[in-house]
Amino acid sequence: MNNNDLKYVGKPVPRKDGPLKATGGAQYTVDISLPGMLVGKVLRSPYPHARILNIDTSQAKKLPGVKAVVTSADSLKVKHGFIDTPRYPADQYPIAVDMVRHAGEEIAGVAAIDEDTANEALSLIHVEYERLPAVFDPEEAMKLDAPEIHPNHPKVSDPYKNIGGKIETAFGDIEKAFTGSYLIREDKFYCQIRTHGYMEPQATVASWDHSSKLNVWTSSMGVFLKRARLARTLGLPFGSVRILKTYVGGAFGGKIDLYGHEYIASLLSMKCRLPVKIVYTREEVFKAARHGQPLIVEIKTGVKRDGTILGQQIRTINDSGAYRGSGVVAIFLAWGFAMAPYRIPSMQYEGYSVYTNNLVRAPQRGHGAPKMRFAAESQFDVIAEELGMDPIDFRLKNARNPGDMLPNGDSVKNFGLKECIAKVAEKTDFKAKYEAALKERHSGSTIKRGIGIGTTAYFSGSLVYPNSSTVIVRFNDDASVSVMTGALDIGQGCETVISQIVAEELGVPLNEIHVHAADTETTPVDIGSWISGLTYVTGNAAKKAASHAMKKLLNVAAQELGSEVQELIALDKTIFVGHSPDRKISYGQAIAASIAKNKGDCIIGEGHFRTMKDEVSPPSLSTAKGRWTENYSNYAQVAEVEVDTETGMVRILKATTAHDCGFPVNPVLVEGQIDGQVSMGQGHILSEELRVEDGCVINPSFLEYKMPCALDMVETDYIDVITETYDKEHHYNTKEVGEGYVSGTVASVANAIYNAIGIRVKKTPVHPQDIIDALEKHEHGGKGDLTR
Amino acid sequence: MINDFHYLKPASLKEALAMYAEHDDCKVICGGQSLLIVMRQGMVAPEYLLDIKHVKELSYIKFDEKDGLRIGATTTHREIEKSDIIAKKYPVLVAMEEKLASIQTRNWGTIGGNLAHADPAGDPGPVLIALNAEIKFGNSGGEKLVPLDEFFVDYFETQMEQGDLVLEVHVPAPEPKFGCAYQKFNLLDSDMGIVAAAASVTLNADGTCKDVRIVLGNAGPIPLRVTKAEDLLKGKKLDDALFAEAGTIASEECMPVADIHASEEHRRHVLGVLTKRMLKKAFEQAQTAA
Ligand SMILES: Cc1cc2nc3c(=O)[nH]c(=O)nc-3n(C[C@H](O)[C@H](O)[C@H](O)COP(=O)(O)OP(=O)(O)OC[C@H]3O[C@@H](n4cnc5c(N)ncnc54)[C@H](O)[C@@H]3O)c2cc1C
Repeated sequence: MNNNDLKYVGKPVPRKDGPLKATGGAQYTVDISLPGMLVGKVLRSPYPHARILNIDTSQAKKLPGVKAVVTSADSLKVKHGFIDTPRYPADQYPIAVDMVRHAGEEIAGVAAIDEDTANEALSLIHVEYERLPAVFDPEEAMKLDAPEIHPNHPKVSDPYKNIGGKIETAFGDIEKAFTGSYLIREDKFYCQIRTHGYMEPQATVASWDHSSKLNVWTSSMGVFLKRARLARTLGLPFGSVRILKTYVGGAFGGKIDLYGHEYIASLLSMKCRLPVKIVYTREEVFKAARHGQPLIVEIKTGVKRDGTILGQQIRTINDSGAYRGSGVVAIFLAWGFAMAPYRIPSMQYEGYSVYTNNLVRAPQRGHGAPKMRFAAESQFDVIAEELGMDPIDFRLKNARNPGDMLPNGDSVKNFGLKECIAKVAEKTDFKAKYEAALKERHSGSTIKRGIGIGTTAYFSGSLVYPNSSTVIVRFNDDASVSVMTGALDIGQGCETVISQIVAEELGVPLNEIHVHAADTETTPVDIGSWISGLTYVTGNAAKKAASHAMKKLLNVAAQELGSEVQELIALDKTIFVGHSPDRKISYGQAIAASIAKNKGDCIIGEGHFRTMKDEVSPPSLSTAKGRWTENYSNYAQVAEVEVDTETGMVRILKATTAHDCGFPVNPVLVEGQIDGQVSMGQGHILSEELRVEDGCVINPSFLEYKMPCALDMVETDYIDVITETYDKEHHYNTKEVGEGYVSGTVASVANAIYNAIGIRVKKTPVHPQDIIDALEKHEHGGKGDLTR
Repeated sequence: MINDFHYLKPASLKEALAMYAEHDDCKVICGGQSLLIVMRQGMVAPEYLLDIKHVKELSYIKFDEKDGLRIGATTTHREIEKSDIIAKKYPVLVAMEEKLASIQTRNWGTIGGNLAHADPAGDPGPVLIALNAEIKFGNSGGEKLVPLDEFFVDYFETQMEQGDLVLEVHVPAPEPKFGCAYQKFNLLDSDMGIVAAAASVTLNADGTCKDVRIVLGNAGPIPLRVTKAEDLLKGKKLDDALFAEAGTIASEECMPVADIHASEEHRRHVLGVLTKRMLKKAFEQAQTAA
């Protein structure tokens, strides 16, 4: 089947949830109200590192209106972790036991009849601390004389301290690569901590009901992982914990793991047998929730005279905060983002995840890619310039070809990176603008223009709990369709995409497809909205489920019409016998016939899908061995910037993206994803930074934390590079589109700044003051790098 | 959290002034765009809130060729931005408003509230002072009219006393051969300025500088006139070299304070650049003006 014959898939269908959200009808967690519901609040540590000597809750408990107070004494003291494997066992209590290791760590919870009372109760809890020395810089924390936050990982033998995890991997002969290199560059790059900036703060309602079941509504990225973590830490069987769907106002990686407040709300509700709602203030989000990963990247690359990359040695250091969080995952993924897009015959990689007394880290859209690509792409341009090549030719020379095999055994299959690079360069007139900027550098004008490129390859679904998706497609009597999926739409539009796929298979219009989603009790398991695999994994499960239902429907129709299934054609909810169009049966009639004659079969289809079906386990976080993903997306992005050399202000004029996301199941959603990521990348490179002093966030509001808004949106343009097809008969391949582009924006803007003013950006964000300082250094004969 | 308070809603200006005189621990709320932030932070916790948003007598934009422009205190930013007569006679005000916060904030926030709040980073202050504006305020006992230049006293402090309401802003009719320009320096489009500069230039018939005003935003405790820089230019035939020199003087004369968004040094530097640029822009406007 040709993509052009498709009616729903591949079409720019508006979001199903759009009208409901725009008119205020969508129910978010904060909107949930249950009879007798209490307000829950969390007491948090004011100190970044301290021993808890005593917690006295007696006064708080006596305050009229207080219904429950909990501390770790009320808990089972079961640890949890984003990673919980034999190598990396869980290391964090959901409510602090005897120690706090970061400011904002949960110490106690209260439930009261209103917010005032709950706040007052918090102020009546008296905690005695013994303060301990703390460390906030990961490179400081690695030193042997640093305060110990956790003992070193037992399998890491380096003479360092506070190592929460390490990854080491290599392929090829790196020594030989460097000896044979015409040019070797070594650079070091730094990134800041950026918050996710979800509009909906963390929020949870927990209700322990009369049947001893815990019902939880929580702003998350997938319900099954929440159920697993809550059940385990609370000591409940999965059947006693139900997570229900609510609308989610964005997550971007920040709402995956179990959070202390979800546990505390549950514990409070179990204690007082009333529903408890906890909603973070924005300040609480900034000061206590998890933010992104501030990776340090040291990178050494050797090339031949003609620009061919021979080898690369990379060392990353991740400040994982007070617990392991996703820190060890970020250093693993960063390796993948280094090796995937370009042919690098030999590589040596080591990454450290280091404990500090900072907030715990969460994954964040791109999960390491923006930092790794910023470093690699910046260095590519340095090398290209030293070789007298332009950035486009350098990349085209080294980018992977379709069918290339990666060192982990993955194939990049129909990889479109070279096409992306060539097309984006052509559309933006890159080479001419690049040369023009170089000439302009020495003209008298104070406003300089520059152009730069950044590229990425990204995984599209991998193996992490719960690893797979199942979807159920059910016909109703009126031939409308109900879809049961565990997938949670967090704003990316997955319910719309699933509906398009089901509509395509069944020939039922979109408005007659009703998605029932994300309820651990009534919907089948789903992979979750966090590893860029939903359209691929859940989508294929939905496709199989729909085609299963369709097969049943066609069988009934064949019975009724006295024909063969192969002769049948379905059109507008009617099934015709191909060669005699007056022999027909409506879907409704066929369903009725199935119920009447096939022992009541009301026609339900089931489909399941798992990526990398032959792989038993996920790749190793310590050696990077093992397959990562089945489909590598890739993009090339070009940024055009203007730099005011008198004030240091950088403006992004335009971001053009050539993307290979396989094929766009919904082109407007793809463009929306790109725009959102351009905006995030813009914030990353130019304005956003969580400012932390002694472990405390000092800009805990959107007045002080500078996140770009709609008015700041850069002009964007898109180029489709389509490398896959949607075929009705088989499962389809499609690629990630929701995470990778942040990298392209960061890297392309950094390179464009260099093109404009000759200043190499080695840290983010770039403030106007940094530009002025670097220009001054440049003038006075310094290197002019913009770094820490 | 915002404290509990009593809510007063006067129907007329007279009633508003009377209520304000009667209640001691009372704060005026108009659009709430500044007040609610500080109330949420717990920095302001009054017993009474006097809501003057609905006092229609204070919501107007009037223009007269001789008298100039009069804007009532409860006129919103958005109304100023969308006013045809202001666009025609004082385009710098419209340009300033278009970059003041977001549309939502401009729909609520008022000119009176902005000036009364006296944030040295506010946008209208510098521009209106460059336009030689006056401000009228008063209480149940009487009114006062002062040059806006003298209205601001310190960070978040004005000449007004408890019981005073801002009533009106008056901007004189533009002189011939007059130009005025304003620019703020910020990382995000809808944000308060890290620093800002307004400049106005009036030229004599022979092209020399008759009058000049340079007013800097967020460069000290109040919207800051840099008179040494102004004095350099008065009576002279203006050119780029003079603008650059005025910029250098302004950057020395101002007194910005560092915070997490920029150092004092960088603020001074940018203020100098903006001063130079706004002077040039105002001068070019004045040259082509009737
Ligand atoms: C997100 C955001 C962004 C902003 N960005 C900018 C910006 O870029 N530039 C800028 O200049 N401003 C900015 N502001 C501030 C905004 O312009 C002002 O807050 C607004 O104009 C104040 O008017 P209001 O009517 O809302 O005052 P309110 O908040 O109601 O009151 C402010 C203060 O003035 C007093 N007050 C109000 N009216 C009177 C009166 N008639 N007489 C006496 N006292 C009075 C109040 O008691 C209070 O102390 C921003 C605000 C927000 C929320």
